[in-house]
Amino acid sequence: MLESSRPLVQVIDARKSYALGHRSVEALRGVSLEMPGSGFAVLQGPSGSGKTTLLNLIGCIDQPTSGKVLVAGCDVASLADDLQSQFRSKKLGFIFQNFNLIPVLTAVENIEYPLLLQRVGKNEARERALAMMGAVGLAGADDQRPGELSGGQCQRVAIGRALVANPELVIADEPTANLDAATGRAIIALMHRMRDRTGTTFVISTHDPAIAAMAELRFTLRDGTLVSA
Amino acid sequence: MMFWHLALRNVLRNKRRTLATVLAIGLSCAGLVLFGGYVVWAHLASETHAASMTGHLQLFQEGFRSKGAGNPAAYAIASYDGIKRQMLEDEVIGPLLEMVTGQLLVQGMVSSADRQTSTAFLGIGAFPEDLERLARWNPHGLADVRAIAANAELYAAGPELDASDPEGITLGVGLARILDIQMPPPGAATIPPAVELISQPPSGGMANMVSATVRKLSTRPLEELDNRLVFMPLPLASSLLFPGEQPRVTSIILLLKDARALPVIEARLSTLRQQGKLGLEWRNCWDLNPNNVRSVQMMDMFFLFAFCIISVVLIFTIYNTMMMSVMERVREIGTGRAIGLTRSDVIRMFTIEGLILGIAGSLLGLLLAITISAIINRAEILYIPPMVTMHAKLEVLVTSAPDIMAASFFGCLLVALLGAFFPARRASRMVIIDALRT
Repeated sequence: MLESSRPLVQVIDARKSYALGHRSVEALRGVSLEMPGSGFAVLQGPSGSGKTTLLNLIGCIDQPTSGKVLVAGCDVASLADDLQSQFRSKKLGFIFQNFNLIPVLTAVENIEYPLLLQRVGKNEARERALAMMGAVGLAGADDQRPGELSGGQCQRVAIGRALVANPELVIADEPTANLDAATGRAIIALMHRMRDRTGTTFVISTHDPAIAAMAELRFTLRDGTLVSA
Repeated sequence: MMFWHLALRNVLRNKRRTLATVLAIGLSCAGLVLFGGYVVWAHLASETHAASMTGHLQLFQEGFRSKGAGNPAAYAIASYDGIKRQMLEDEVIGPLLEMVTGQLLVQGMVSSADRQTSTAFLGIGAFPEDLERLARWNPHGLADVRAIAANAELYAAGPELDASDPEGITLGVGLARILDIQMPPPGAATIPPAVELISQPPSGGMANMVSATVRKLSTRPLEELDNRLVFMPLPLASSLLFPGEQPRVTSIILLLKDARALPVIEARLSTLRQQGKLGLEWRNCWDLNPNNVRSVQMMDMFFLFAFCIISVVLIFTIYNTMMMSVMERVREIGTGRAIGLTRSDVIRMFTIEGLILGIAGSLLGLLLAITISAIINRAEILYIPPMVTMHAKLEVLVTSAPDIMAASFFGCLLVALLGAFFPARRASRMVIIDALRT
């Protein structure tokens, strides 16, 4: 678990610019924030406000143009590519808006995939994946492929995949955007339960106020700047 | 193991495209194996042909190869029997020999008193049984040219020489034409045409003459030979040059049980020569038949050329397949990278897919090649190869050439790996957030 004295996520004056044709677009304009461990945080704001960009930086799949992002005390951007991959594999979990499951793998195989990447033994990986299937409410759907599952079920598989390796932080980019309202609420409730059970910190982005209201920490972004925390 | 499992599933994801790629690899591999099988046949047929013409090694009197063409009889070996015994009894050479025989080269004039014609000839005196044994030499079990119907006319008159006919000779068809000699139809009770052979003995003095009967006409592969060559029993040839003496030879022919023993024999001959136990020089069948060597070298070059062309086409085919696969799975690649795949993992994943395609295609290719070669070998596909006059059956020796099969199999695998590597490298270099956005 995390050291209680240190925030799990520290974003220090992070800026991010993208080249768009001949001009540069500034997606983040000096954002600073801190998130403690074992929390449930929401990044909210309208489209284009910089939520996904900030999530990508916190998720260590993108690097700030300037400033720093520390996750579990580590400035991941300074690591070599392979070490970044290892860091993501061990410390982070991802949940995507479009689920991003691997279509040729069954539900349980999708969940055990991160464990196999960490070279966990096949039997142990399968055991842990099956346990996770039960925890996300999909017991019995082990052999079904993503194409045979509903959107809500796919997102449950994605949650299982994000949590199976016991990460410290789960990044979820608009996890309910492709789900109906009831399923979306059920998914957020499941994330809360999993957070309570595992102690994993969740950071999600949303522009749904109802979802945002369910979070303990809310960060509001507008035009690349943090307007409230 | 996980990557193999995942790669197999991905390969089966688009079955039609996979089938097309596997077929392309399979047909390429089959083409290579079949062509390779034909090249192997060309090598074995060339070796068999060379050995049946000249034996694997010929021993000559010192200087014969450089100067003997003008007066071969001057380089005749008087101690033929002794050298033959020495070879057969040698502890290294003897066990490797199939046969030792001698031949006498003779030049002179041949004339037909009946037709009032004459011309120069080049004669080969040989022991009839040994000449026939050489002609039938077939250690690799290639299709017997005598059993081919199209060659029936060539062999209808029997072998070149007959031990029971000590004066019977065989002329080239061109030589018979020059002498205006025509053979009676087969089975006719007509006396065969007679000719006189005249040659100057090496000791000088009066020319000798012997009478002979023409028992057969044979077409020779080169016009120059066809117009001059005479096959005659060795005692008859020797009596023309050395009347009243023991038969002499200008070359002693060694036929080996296995051509691969040639280096051993040549090394042993060198040792005997250094020890002063052998006063002869020698040439192997490849030196004596340089055209055979050039023909098979040309076939090897064709094979290499075909391999290069097929490899290039195959690399592009597999590259195209793998590139389409990469482009269809950009988001999957981004997701995998986000949850912990390293760049080398991505390369491994896609190259394994290429390897699976390569293995499946190459195995299919080997199966196809074995099946098609069996069909070709059963079909009577005939042609006349270079440097011979008889028809040969097209043979594709696939199963007896495991090295060609292995080379084609692993060559196609390597090509599949190469074709997959570049798309895999491209996949590994994708920017994660760009991949996730697609």
